[in-house]
Amino acid sequence: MVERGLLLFVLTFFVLFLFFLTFIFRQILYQFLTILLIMVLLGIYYLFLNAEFIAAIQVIVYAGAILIMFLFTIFLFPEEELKYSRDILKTHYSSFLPLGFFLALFLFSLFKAIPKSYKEQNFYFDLKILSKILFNDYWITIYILAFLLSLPMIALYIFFKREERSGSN
Amino acid sequence: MGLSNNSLLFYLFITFAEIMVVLGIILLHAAYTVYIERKVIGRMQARLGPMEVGPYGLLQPLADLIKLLFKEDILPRDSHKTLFQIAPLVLLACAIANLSVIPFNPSFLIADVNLGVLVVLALASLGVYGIILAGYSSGSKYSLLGGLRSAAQVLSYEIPLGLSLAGVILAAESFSLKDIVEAQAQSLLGVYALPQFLGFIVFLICAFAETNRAPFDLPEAESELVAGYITEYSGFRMGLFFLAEYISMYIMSLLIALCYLGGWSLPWWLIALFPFLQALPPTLVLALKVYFFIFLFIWVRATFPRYRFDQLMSMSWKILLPLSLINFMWVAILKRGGL
Amino acid sequence: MQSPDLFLPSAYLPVLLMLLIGFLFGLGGILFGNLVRPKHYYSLKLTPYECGNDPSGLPWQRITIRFFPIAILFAVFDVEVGLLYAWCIGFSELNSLGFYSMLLFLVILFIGFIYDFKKGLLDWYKRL
Repeated sequence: MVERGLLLFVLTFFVLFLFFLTFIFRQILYQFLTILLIMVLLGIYYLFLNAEFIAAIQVIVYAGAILIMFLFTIFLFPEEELKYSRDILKTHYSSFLPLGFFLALFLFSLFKAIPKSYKEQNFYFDLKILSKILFNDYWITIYILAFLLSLPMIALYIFFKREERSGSN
Repeated sequence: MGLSNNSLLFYLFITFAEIMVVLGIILLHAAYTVYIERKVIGRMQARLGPMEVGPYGLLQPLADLIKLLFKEDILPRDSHKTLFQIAPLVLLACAIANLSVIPFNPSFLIADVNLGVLVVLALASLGVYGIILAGYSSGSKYSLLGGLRSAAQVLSYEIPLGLSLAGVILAAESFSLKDIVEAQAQSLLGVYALPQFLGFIVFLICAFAETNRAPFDLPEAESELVAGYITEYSGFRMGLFFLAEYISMYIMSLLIALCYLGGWSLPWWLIALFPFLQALPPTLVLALKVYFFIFLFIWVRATFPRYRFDQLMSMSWKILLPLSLINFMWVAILKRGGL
Repeated sequence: MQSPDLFLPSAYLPVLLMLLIGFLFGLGGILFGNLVRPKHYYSLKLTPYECGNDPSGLPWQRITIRFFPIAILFAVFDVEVGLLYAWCIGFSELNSLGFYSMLLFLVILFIGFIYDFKKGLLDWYKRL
């Protein structure tokens, strides 16, 4: 399909462009916004895989909830402190090293993923079947998730109490 | 998809025309809701409301639009200029895009997707960024505080909203709003508002909070926040915030009418009591339900005092969240029992 | 159903289109207003509003950490709601194990929520 290839090419171009912008922007809020846009674009990638539910969850949970958490953390620092950290960042171009690493990894996996021949595959994404399999057979994952999710709720209180005690000393 | 070039263009043209029709209708409604709101609140306070422009003040929305367009547009000194200009557009675009998944009658729907409700929730969670960015980029203390508070409010009320919607999704076993309405018409009581009364009430309260309307309208709490995240905005940009608010009012009313009150279908017992109601066209039935909720929005604004911020947060987390969980458990057990 | 290799999410095109049109509508209004509105700026007009006083200091001060627990709880419950939706869709094909495991999941999270509630993490006026 030419259209699909073209659209995916444009999408990947945007993602990589935003990826670079994350390193080029000096203001932390703009860096945050590029990450937000990347998260939304990842949702569109999932749409191309016919996994609409995962796409919606990607936007709702990652772009909507996790990044809000990041944003509130950014707001905890006043502007002057952020300016100070910006000056530090200017001298360290070693932050481009992980970028190069991930880019190399990306290109490697991209070239490795090119199939020898294109033939129709028979799997597809149906939420009803997925839900049935997940909850009937792999129900143990739900308890792992429950454990993981109740961890921050308890850790939150302990963290804040410790902070306050050290603050009073 | 085996769409040839010609039919793709045709499809795009049809979609574009549909979007324009819906957008035109909703903008007209939003403009006249402002007028109706001023009129109704005026009557409730023993005043007349707008009377000067045109007969009974009917041209007032037009006058407001012209005034907003001719107002000076001020970019404050300390603001982040780009973000300040983009923020209202983000909020407006996220509000308008919701309309694409909402069916207005059995055959008219712009985007026929499987995930109607989830698209609405995803756009709502993206719209929060418009509020936060507006608050942050204004470069004013009141804006930052108001923006963060409004964002925290919208976030807190999104959870009970999602949980009460889960009851509807469970009962219909579909995300598509069209399927929800059809499943509702075939259910035992005809509307989901009766078996899920708790969820209905929670959703209604959350709808008020999600749209930043009274009694949860922090941006209008002048005594503590001046105007919240709208403080530094002026002219047409401020108008865009209000437009987004009124459009999201309509979207919330449409969602309530579709998910809880049967949308364009009427419950069988109502038709059995009044057989002549069957003759009403489906769109009119939906519109009447939506107008009722719009009137409720206005009525509540004229009646209830504003919540303080700490009361607002504790109401969402301490009351609405447990209530919506209880509602969900009730629906699950009801459905498991075969009803 | 088509195989994912050839799939185009064309059903979502109108949503994207509507998003763009909404954006352009607002932009068009502003650009049109730019032609007709007056532009008489002076420095006093551009100062941020601060109840009549001269603004003191930068507006981006340290905000209260109160917002942070709200964000974390929101993330936790958002994940829960997402999983709940997946459960709702496959409800009629679940066996009793699938049914009760989800209810237990809800109860576990609710116990964690009650813990936070009792420890006063949700009382806005309490100091953290």
